[in-house]
Amino acid sequence: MNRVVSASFNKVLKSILVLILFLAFGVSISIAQDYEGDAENGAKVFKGNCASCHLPTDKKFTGPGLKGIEDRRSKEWIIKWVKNSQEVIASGDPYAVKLFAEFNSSVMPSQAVTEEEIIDILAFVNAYVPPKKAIVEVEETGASTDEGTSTGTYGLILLALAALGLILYVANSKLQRFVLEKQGKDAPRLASVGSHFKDWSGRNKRLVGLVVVLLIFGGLNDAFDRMMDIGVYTDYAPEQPINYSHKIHAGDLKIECVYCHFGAEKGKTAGIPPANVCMNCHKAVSEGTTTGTAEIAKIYAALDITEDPMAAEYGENKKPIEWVRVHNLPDFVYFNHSQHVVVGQVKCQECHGPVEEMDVLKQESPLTMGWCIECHRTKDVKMQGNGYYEKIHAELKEKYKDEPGKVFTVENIGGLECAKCHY
Amino acid sequence: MSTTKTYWKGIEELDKDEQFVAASQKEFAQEIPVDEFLNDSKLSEEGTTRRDFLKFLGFSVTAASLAACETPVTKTIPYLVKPEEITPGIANYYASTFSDGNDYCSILVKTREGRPIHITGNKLSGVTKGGVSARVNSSVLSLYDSERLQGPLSSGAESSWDSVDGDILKKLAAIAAKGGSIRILSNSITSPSTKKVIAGFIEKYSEENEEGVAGDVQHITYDDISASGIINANVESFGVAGIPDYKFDKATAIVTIGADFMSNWLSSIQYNVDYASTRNPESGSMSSLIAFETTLSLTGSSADTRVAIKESEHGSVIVSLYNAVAKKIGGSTIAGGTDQYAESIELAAGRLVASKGTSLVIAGSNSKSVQVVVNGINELLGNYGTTLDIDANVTIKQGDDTKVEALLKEMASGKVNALITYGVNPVYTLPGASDAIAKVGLKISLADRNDETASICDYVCPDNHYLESWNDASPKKGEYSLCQPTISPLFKTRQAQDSLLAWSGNSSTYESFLMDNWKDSVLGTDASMDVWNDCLRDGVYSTTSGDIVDEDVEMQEGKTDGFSGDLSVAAAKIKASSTGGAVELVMYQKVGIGNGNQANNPWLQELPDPISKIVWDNYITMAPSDMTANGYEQKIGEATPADLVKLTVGGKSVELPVIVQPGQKAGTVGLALGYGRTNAGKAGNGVGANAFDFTSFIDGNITYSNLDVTVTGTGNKYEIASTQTHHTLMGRDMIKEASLEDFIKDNKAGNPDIMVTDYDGVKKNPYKINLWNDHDIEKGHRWGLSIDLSTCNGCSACVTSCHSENNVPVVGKDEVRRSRDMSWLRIDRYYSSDTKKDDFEIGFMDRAGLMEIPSENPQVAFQPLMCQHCNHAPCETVCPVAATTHSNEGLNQMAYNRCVGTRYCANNCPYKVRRFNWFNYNGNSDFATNPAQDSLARMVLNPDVVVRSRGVMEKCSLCVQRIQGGKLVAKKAGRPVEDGDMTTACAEACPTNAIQFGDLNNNATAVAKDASSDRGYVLIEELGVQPNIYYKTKVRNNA
Repeated sequence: MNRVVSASFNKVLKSILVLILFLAFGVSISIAQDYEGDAENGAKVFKGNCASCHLPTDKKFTGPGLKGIEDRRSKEWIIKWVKNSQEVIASGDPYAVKLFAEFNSSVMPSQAVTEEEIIDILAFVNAYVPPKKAIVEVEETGASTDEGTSTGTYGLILLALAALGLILYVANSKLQRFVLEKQGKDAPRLASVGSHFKDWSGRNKRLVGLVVVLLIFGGLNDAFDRMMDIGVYTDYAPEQPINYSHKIHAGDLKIECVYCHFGAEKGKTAGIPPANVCMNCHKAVSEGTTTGTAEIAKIYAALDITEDPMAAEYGENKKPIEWVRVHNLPDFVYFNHSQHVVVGQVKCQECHGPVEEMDVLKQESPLTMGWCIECHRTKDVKMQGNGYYEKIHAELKEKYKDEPGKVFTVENIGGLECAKCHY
Repeated sequence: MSTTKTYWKGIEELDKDEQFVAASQKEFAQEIPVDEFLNDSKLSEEGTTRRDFLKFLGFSVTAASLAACETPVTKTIPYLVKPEEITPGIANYYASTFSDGNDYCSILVKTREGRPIHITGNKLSGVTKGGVSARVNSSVLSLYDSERLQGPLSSGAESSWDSVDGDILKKLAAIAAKGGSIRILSNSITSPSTKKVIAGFIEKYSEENEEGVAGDVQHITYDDISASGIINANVESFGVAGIPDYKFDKATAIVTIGADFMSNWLSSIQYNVDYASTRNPESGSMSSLIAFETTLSLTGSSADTRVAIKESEHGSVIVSLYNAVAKKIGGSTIAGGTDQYAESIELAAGRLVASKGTSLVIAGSNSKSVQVVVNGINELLGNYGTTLDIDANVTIKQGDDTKVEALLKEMASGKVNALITYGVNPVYTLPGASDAIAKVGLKISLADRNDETASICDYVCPDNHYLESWNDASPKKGEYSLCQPTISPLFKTRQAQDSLLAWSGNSSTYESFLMDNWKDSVLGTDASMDVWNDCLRDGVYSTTSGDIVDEDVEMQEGKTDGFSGDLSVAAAKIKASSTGGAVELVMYQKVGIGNGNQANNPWLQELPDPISKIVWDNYITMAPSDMTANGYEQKIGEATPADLVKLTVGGKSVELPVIVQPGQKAGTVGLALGYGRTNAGKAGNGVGANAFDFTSFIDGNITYSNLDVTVTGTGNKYEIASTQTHHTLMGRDMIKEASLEDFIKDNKAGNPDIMVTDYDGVKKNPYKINLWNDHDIEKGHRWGLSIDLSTCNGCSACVTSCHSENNVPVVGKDEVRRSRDMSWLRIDRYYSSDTKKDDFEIGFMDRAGLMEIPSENPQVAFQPLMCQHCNHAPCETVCPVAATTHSNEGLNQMAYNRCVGTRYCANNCPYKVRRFNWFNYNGNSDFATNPAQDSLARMVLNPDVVVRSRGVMEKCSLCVQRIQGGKLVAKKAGRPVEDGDMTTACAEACPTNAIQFGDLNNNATAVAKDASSDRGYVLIEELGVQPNIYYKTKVRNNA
């Protein structure tokens, strides 16, 4: 925390200094020549622009490893290259041509970075020290569930109310006796609570009857609700073998859902991504900020990677990752993701909730038949521009000609029929 | 015609048997034994009191709610490294080849997540053209047979490949070094590459060593269902040792004498497809088919004219036919023949001569003499070159029985030092082989299981299943197909070719050997990786250059110019063997079990024989008149078992049940091959008796008949499971038929419009009278089928395809006997006769052999029947929980999870197509043969279809999973559904294209055209239930 604050403080300070200098001299000066470079800022820019192809070490990735680049090339050359690599190659620079050939003629795109930022990156690369290899430790971190909280609160409130009632009752009795005593009447012995209640209920028969009826109906209603919830696992958020965070991947890094869950656009299951999909990124990214390093190491362990993950060479003793399934549909239901995602153009979040905000994935929707039907009743079918629906759309318009402008829902094309999902 | 005909499913129905009539009133033949259960004395002794009941109830409710509070933890395990071609949930299809020495078929294998689950025909094949048979599409279940060996055996004990290979190499080398004899006994190998592997093996062990000694190595082809008679006849007639390519698609008049070319004879899938293409009445002409046969076969059932003859008369009928044709054409006649059946023979000869040059005569006999005369007839008619191609190098059958007989003698005398069996099971199929093989020094079996032969072998080196293997096939000249693995070997088995390569000292794998061979010998100048990949994708490769692989060149040597068969010698031999005893036995193959190599496949065991409708059994078929004469029980039902009789052939006898078979020639009995396995596995062992025991070598060829047997009653009874009178339709007019002659005059012949009288006394079309509000069927899709009764020949490929697609359970013999079979699609077989039996008894019939009484030689019609998806479905209105409802696409839907099992729907179904799950077939140990119970066989289940549980109704869904899948593909592509985008499992399997699937609301589809055609009709239209399944009138060519 301290470092972050000081870093941003430094940055602000530096910006102010630059501004003062700029204003003071009133001329544009090339600061690149003697600009020192800020490794902290460089790290940020590197992550945002370079990390998908380059490593700060000497290992090759899509492009060369950047360690020691300043020993190999001059700052000017590097700046020219980063801004437009193709121009450098076209100029016939022998080093550039060789480099281009060495990396299978993959073009390094021109980067929208300032010269200062390039120098910042170089400072970051120079200062880069690879972290020590993380020790794989499976932590027994239970997903904390605070189910007790709400019941506890209710209990406390009830208890407080009961205590208050008791105090009031006792105070009332005392006061009554006190009044009677004051009036000089013989204070009767304090009657037992039971007999008192009996007296009271004898006087308020209607109220008691009402309360009893309310209690019975309330109880039945509660029992019914509880029964209906059997087998519904909304908010189910089990502990997973790898503490994978959708928040980091889908939220912060903005990776598309279907990049990993590629099945969602193709077939009935969205699928848990195979580990080799993880390796597309994690062969380069093997470290995390807090627990990531240990968790990423679990992928390597599963794939039995003993050497450099960059090589993505998997060993013989692979161990499958046993994820805990969060979204379960009964076997007698046929659900097809591609129908909903591709044809229906339903956003993943509509059923799965704000996954990009979840560190631990939980089941957002009840996944009950009523929930499915509810959506099929209201959701309009995306008929526009889909040749499949042309004829059906015309026929439906004819059928519902009394209701101009009607939006055709899934129900209107038979989406509530049994054999659409059960076969 | 349908108005004058009586249709009946069995003798029970024809005779209006009381028990049958009573039973047919009920949808569920058996009452639920409620009284029996409640009156059980044990029940009251250990009885549950009301108090106990309430306790249990309370406990179970509590337990259930407690259990429900826990979230069940379901693990989901993704691929670690996903194979590129697999997307979970999406099927992959691979082209491959089925060739087991008995059937050849180019196929497509559907795999899900790497598991083969369904087989269909490959439409790109120039040979089988997309056809498939029940045996071929059921073979996917044989892959998951837990009786398969899981590794090599050495003297019956589990061993390793290294140790087995070491031993075998050592022993083979020792035998060769002493100049010993090594024999490879295999079935007909259609694979040119495998032949090359065997040639390599032979070469290796017949090489001379330093002392000048070489082993005597031979490869002998043995077909358990042999066509050696045809091959020998062709050697004599044309100098060609092979089977001709029969071109049924070019034939306009066909006469078969005992050859069941639609289901069993040679390359029957190919013939079935080709023959059906000539049977389109709309084209104005149809080929005609006359069948002379002994026991009623599928071919005889579909024949325009069928003549029942004795087994001993086959030869003489052919000689007579030769003479009749010769007289008409002007050739010289030969001595012999028969005086009987003159009218039919004259008719046949007339049709053949009228179609001279495009006719075809075939015979099922395995006698060389008979086949020489058949060749003579075809030569007279000038059919060679059009309907027969003698130079086509057809490889489906190559075995020469004289060599097999010689080998048996050689082995029996102890002269054979080593025997390798591949693809054959001689101990089971060849009488006397067991003792002979026992005398061989080194016995190696390449069988996939410890079968009858393997169990007496020293080493068993289990072959992969063909779906785990590389292979190729060349069924005929210029046509090649590939077989590729669709799954990694499930066990530690090894492909037979790899074993032979290893023993030949060849270090390459068969896969690379095969690729090299294709490069050198098949693709030739075409060879490139692209072409190879195309071949692998298509599964087939055709070449017009017709390069002949070297082995086949030998066949061509000694070829004669024209026909050189000696007809008079043949006729004399036929005459000498034409006398039969009182009872003649003929052995045949059944559509399901065939030669018995897949006897452990429960789908095939439970597939009703299309003719007898009997499952899980082997039985003696007998003519109705013989049954009556002997007093055997003809009306087999749940309460009336069949009579057990003793069949004695030579010295051997077996006890088997006897059933009545209309159409069987009096004085003959039939018995199916392929049963009575002892080492097949739990489904196949002990079912029926082994008929191969009664085959024998006559004139060097294996003969599948015996002309003098005795059948005697034992007085014992035997329970038989037959679906014959299940789900009967109570005499309603289901089959409509017409003759081609009438059809050409009036396309609506046999299919008059149905009119019913409404309450005002006005005659109306049933579609005009509605009790219910109409479903909105004209909008969107309306799925339906059309079924052409003209081309349906009952082959049953659709039935097994449906089982495979829809996870239909196997329930076993006992349940089928109680009318509880679960097939969603059944094939009703109707016998018909022009006049009622009563008329015959009064009148007098003197036409020998034909129509003595209706059941002696009836006409047959097949009718596949599945849920008719009625628009006014009677089942839907009676369901108290709305578990069966109508979709706006015309489907009658069944929601299993909603069904409470009242069975009202089944009671109310006029077509009797609903099936009830009486038991939990997937967990109850009484149904151990159900594939869903075996952890391995369960892999064959279709993951898109629910496995139903106890207490729910099920029925044909019109493959709704495929409809939804096809629609989704169209939606994703943003285009309308086109005809052929998807099809049902039955339509896809149909080799004759009798079943078509499509959208009835789209006028461009084949179904819509069929439905509105003059031949189109719906079953029991007068009920007004408005089915979406259409049938097309059966048209016979009686001209």
